[in-house]
Parts: sequence; structure tokens; C-alpha cells
Amino acid sequence: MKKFFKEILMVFNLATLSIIVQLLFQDPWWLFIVVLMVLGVLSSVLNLSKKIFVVGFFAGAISWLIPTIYFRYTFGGNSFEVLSELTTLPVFIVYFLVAIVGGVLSGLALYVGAKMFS
Amino acid sequence: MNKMKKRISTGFIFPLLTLILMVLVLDRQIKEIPPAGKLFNPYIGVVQSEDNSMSDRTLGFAGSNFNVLFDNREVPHVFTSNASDMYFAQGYVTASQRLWQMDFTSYASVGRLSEVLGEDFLTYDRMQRRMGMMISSKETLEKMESDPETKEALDNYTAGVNAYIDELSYRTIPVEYKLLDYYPEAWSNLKTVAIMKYMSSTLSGYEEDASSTYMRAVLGDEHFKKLYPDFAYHNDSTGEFVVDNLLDSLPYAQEIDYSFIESSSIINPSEYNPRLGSNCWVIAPEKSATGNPILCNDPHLNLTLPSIWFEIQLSSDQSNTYGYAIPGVPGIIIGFNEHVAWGLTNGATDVKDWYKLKLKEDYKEYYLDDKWQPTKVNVEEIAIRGKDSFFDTIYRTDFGPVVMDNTFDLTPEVTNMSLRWTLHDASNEILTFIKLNKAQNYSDFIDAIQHYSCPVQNFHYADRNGEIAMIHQGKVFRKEIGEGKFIQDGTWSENLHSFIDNDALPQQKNPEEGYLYSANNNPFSNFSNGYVNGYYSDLRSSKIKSLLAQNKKFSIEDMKEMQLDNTNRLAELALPILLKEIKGSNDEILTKLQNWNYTYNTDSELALFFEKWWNEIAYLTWDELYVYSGLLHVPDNVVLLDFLENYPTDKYFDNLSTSDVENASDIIQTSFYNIREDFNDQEMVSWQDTNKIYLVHPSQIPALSKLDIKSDGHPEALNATSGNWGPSMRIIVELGDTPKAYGIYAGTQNGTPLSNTLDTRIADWKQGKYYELKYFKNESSYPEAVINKWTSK
Repeated sequence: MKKFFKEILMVFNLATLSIIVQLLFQDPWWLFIVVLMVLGVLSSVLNLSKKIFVVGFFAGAISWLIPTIYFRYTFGGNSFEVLSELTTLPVFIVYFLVAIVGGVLSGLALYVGAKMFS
Repeated sequence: MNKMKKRISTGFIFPLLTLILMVLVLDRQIKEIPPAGKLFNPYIGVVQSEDNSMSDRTLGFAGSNFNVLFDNREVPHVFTSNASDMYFAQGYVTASQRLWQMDFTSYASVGRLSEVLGEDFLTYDRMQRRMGMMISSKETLEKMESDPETKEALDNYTAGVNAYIDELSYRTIPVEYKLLDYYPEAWSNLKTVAIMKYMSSTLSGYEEDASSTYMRAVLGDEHFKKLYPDFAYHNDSTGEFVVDNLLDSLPYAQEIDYSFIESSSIINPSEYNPRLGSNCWVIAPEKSATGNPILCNDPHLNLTLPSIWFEIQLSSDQSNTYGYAIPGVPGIIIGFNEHVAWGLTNGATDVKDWYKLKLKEDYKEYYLDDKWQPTKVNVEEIAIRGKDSFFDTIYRTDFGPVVMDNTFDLTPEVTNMSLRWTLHDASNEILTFIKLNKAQNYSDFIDAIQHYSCPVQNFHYADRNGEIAMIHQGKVFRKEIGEGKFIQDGTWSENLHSFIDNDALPQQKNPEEGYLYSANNNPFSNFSNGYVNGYYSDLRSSKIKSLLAQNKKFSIEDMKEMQLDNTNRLAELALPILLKEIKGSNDEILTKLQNWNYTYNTDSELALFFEKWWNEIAYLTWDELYVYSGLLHVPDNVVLLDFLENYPTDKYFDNLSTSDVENASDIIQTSFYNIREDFNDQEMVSWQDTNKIYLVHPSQIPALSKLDIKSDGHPEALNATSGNWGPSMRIIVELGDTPKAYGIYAGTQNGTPLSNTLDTRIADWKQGKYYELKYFKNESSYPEAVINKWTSK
């Protein structure tokens, strides 16, 4: 149970860090992946988690989904309705895709970093 | 200690390669799939494009001093102390609101879409290049830059646009760049000229030379003239329906063998809309309720999102002008200052002619004046995204480019012909608008419009001293009867036409009636200065005349009512003629039609019925013509009306599907009962079910457009809203001590299709609302209306 909460805490810490990095450095857009790889190395060195991909996935999903919802609410435009029409997917699927893309990239980045050292 | 024993492992290589591959895939567009990594990214992606919030800004452009005050409708009011800064600021501000639109139009105009959208657009690009859009843009730029005043405007406008582009990052580029995955290139004077040429092409591109040639060949001169006459419709003082066939018995001048076209399997329709037009009228002080002259204008153009128009005020030491600009072009196109107001309607005069050539097989020579002459050869490089460039060879003769040849025959009916189009001639329309913006009186107005060549426009003018004028301005070919209406002979240089002198073009100033108007009507009442043909429509103008001729003085409210008038002029003229023929029926709809006011409002059931009835009459009357593969359109509604009224036993009224011989009365009755029968069963019950309008995004992406908007109006009504075209903008200006103006267009100042105020603006436009155009005499005129301020020092 303690381990579980530790991993939850790690997810939120990583998500927060990822958000800060992406707010500060936007060019190139994939720079946060490099940062997460470095964190992956660190997590391996420190033996922080064995489910490093899952942790990274949820951190990445959160770091993309929550800001998306925030910006959409703040700006009040219709970009996701446009994407939904363009892709012929329901809007909630577009949100889901955002979370998946952010999650997979982050999870994989952390995993690669962690696997660099055995 | 355990941690220290970690060693580099090879287990990360495969996941790393997977990760790199994913980043590469998500970083670029693959086929139709946009780059999801960038697009979905909440910090720079599509969500960030929703942010069109405005704020005060201090800009640091060395050498450019200006203030831009944005009012509560986001209209920028630019204040500067000189023209250079004014055009710089206009370029900067316009780019900040409409960059993608102006950039895309410049690509589309000169055939460069393949460069950003890929090989699918190569045929379109080749067509544009072969029509001469790139060559003529370059030649026109050279002419424009030879004038110092125009060059100053162009250079500064371009610098302003580029100053904005330099500030952009992926996060801040317009959403269209993200969706189509490319980045804005640097602006140039050539791109501005390309936009001007695009507008010229849109307004003067329509022609039906091949179809007319075909129809003349199969029908013979007598029948052709009867069905497709050069006519003018007049609503004379008695209000009777009168058609002047201007060419009654005069023979066509040109005789070449047209047998080549009779075998054409099909004549391709023009891609241009012949109905693009406009309404404009001016009233002198004696017709105005306040004693001030009033100018009203509503250009009927393609309805696009973003709008063709951008509202702006431009003030410098030389002028203080308000109005509507075209994004990408310096100055204001339609507008007013403290002294004058001006408006435009499309002249609709034919300035695009085809010449049949005699060419050698390799296109290196053509036969002219009894000898072989070399053609000019241009090799155009068309860059293609992700592929090698395509090189297209275009041959040119004295008559213009050979658009279709043995390597490109999209419209085979004009293969091996040259296109003579006044758009190809180098001219300086921008100087017209630079001068109009600072005009103070009639002589300034005349000085300005003399630079205007293509497309032919009806320039309307009013000044605060009460003078009004209207001039049909542009380069108009001086032709013999019938020339230019048909394909011409390109083996004799004498068939190249000169132009009618400017002072011989139709023009009026301060008429006794106290008003002037145009609505794409035929302004030529005789051919003493040469024959002129065009794609005129006289019905709307006759409606304007009938309203302005009333014995009353007009207020701004009256003018609004006129612009929004949904009365179908055709119905007004035709229905009394039709109803006379329906006898002995007690049908309820007949009673309603007798009391109908001919308005095409959204909820009108009678408008829908009349529309169907008239179309059925046209269908049954012109059934003889449908066998011809080269038929582009049946004769004009006014011709049909003329036949119904004056030639009721003409052979065209005979219905080919029956053994009887029908006359006009039979056709009117048959069509009435055919429609009546269907009308009870149909699902569509009112005009709005048929009259749906489309505000289409230039990318043609439906998700970025507004489609199927139910609307009132009709092409033959002053409120000519129909399909994807109509009153793109409405403006009413009353000149007095301070100009008072009202206007609206469909769309928002900020061109983003993601705007949350777009639907409201479109609804306001559709409902016929007007906004007050706040003319700032100086920066402190409307302090309560200023929302944001941009300053450059």
C-alpha cells in the first residue's frame, strides 16, 4: 500500500515537473522527452519504481490532458470540435487521444532512461 | 553500494528506437493525418490557437512610430504621422489578425499550392500559371514599383507583415498552418500583387466564348441573337417591362469557320461565378432627409471564412480614412474620409477573349499576318512538397498565353488558343486606392481612378459638398459587333483590340434626379464608341431605380431597408403575366399569390412556390436546347419574360414531349399544375429550406466552414444572398460635418475559425443588423470604445 502511494506521488511529481518544463521550453516540442529520459536514468539509479512505464504514462497523460482542459475552458474556442469533425471521431475520443499520445511518449521516455543502466 | 554497481545496458536500444520513430511520426503530416505530437500538445498545439485575447502592447520597431487603438469590435484605428508608418502598421495589424488567409490567397493566386499542400494541387497550379497569373503578377509588380508612392506603400506594408511573422512561434501561428503542417514564409510585394490579381481574376474571370461559339454554330445567327441577345432592360417611367435588343438587325462582324467546335462532346462550364456583383447607389443632398449625401454599397462576392474584408481606420498626416481593406493589400478598398466616400460594383464587362491560333506542332511558331512568327517560351518551376519540382512550358503569342496545349488539355474546347485578358496587362490599381484614401474632391477622385484597369468596376462617389458621380472604369476593348462574344481569329494582328478611351466610358455626375446607382447592369446604351459585351444583369438595378425614384427624401434607416430588400424583381415583373393565364381556378395558392408582395423572406411559402413554378416554365420552354452538349446555360430570365410577354406563340414554347403544339399560355398552366401537385407532398415548405448559404473556408475543409445556414434573399433581390455568394459586406455612409457610417460583414476581425464570437457575428449579418462604424477624428474621439492600445516608438 505504501508503495502504491509512493508511485501515485511519483506520478504527480513527474506530471508537475513535465508541465513546468513544457511551459518553459516549447521548441522543439519533444524537449520534455529528453528531460524525462534523464529522470528515467535517475529513477533507475535510485530504484524508485519497478513500474516505470506505467508511472511515466500516467504522468504524461495528466501533463497533457489537464492543461488541455484548462486552456480550452480559459479560451472558450472550438478547436476540439474542429478536430472531431476532421477526424470524424467524437470529441471525448479526441481528449482520449491527447492523453494517450502524452502518456505513451512520457512512459516510453522514462522507460528508455531507466533501461539505460542494468 | 548496490546502486554504484549499475552498468550501461543494451536493453534500452529497442525502446529508444521506438521512441525516436514515434517522435518522427508525430512530428509531421503523413498522408491526411496531421502531426499529432505537435497538434495535440496543449502548450503549443491546436488548443493554443483558441487564444485570440487582446491586450495592450508596446512594440519596439526601430523607425516606426504608430498607435493602434482597437475598439470594442476589434476594429483597429491606426494613427501615425506619415504614410510609411501607416502602411507598416496596417501590414503588422492585418497580419496579426489574418495572416493565414492572405498568405494562402497569395499561394493560390499564382499557382503555388503544391508547394505547401502537395502534388494533388499540381493541376490547379498549372492552370493558374497557364492562365498567366504568375507572369502577369511579376510584370505588374515591376510597373507598380516604378511609381515611388506605390513602392513606399508596398515596401512598408511588407515590412509590417514581416515584423509580425518574425515574432511568431509554432504556438502562435494561425491554426490552419498547424492543421496543414507548414509555416508562414516571409511576405513580399509580389504576394500583395498576387492577391490583387486574385481579386481581378475572381471578378473578371467569367467568360462563355466557347459556349457562345458552339451555340451560334448550331443555332444559326438569327436564333442565337434571339435567345442570347445583347440587351438592356429598362423600367421606364410607366413601370412597364421593356427590353431593348441593342443589336436588333446588325450583323456580327466576324466570320470564321466555327465547324471545329460543333463536334465538341462537351463545353466545360467556367469555374468563375458570373453572378458576382454588387449594389451601390449614391443620393445627392436633395434626396436625403438630412440634406447630406449618402453612399450605400454591398459587394456580392464569394462568402468565405474568414471574410474577404478587414475593417480598419488609417490615419496619417495626409489622410484619415475608414473602411474595408483586403487582407494583404495596403490601403482601404471601399470607404470614406471626412471629405468623400466611394463604393464599387463589378462592371461585369467582358475583358477575357479567346483567339484560335495556327501553330506548328512543336509550338515554337504561330501563323500571323501571312507568316510564321516565334512564340515566347516560359518555363515555370512549380515546387511540390516532398517531391521534385515540376517544370511546365508555357507558350505565349501576341494574343496571350496558350493555356491548353498537347501537354495540358483540361478544357479541350480551347486547346491551341490564346487567352487575351486585361488582367495580363501591367497596371497599378493599388495607386488608385492610395489616392482614393486621401481624396478630398471630385478631381482627386478622377485622378485616382484613371490608374484603374482590371477588373472593370463601377466607381461611385459622393462628397460632403453634395456632388455625386458614377464611372464605369477600367480597360474595355474596342470591338466590332459580336467580337469577344465568340472565339476569334488569331491569325491576324488586326483582331487585337485597342481600348475605349477613359472619357468615353459610361459616366454620370450630379444628375437631375439626385441619385446614381449600379448593380452589374449594362451601362452601355449604344455602341458609338465600339461594341461591348458583358455578363450584365439589369433586374436589381431596375429595382434600385424604382425605389430611389420615389418622391421622398431618404434617411439612413431607409437605406438599410433597401439593402435588405428581399423583393425578387423577377417575380414582381413576371407574376402578373403568369397569373393572367391561370383562369377558372379557385386554388387557394392563387389567391395568396395575387396578394403576395414578392418578398423572399425565410418563412415565405409563396417564394418557394414561385421559384419552382418559374423554373418549371424555363425547363419546359427551353427543352429544345437541352440536346446541345455545348449548352452552358439557358437564355436569361429577362429573355424568357420577353418571350412570354411578346412572343407567346414562339416555337420554343412547344413541348417536345407531347404531340400537341403548345404556346406560352399552355406552358404557364402546365407548369403551374405540375408544381401545385408536388407542392402538397413536399417536405420543404418555405424559402429557407431551399436558400441555404455556405461560408466556406479557403482550405475547403468543412470543419472550418459554416454550412447550410438558412437564409432569406435571392439573386434577383437587392439582398442577393444565395449559395456561397452574396452581400459580403454592407456599408452606408452619410457625409456631413463628421461622417456617420454603418456597416457589417459576415465574420470576425480575427480570422481564426476557432473564434467563439463567429456564430454571433454571422447571425447578426444574416439578420440584417448594422454596427456603427466609429470614425475617430483623432485618438481621443471615442475613449469609452477603446479596448486595447498598441504603441510602437
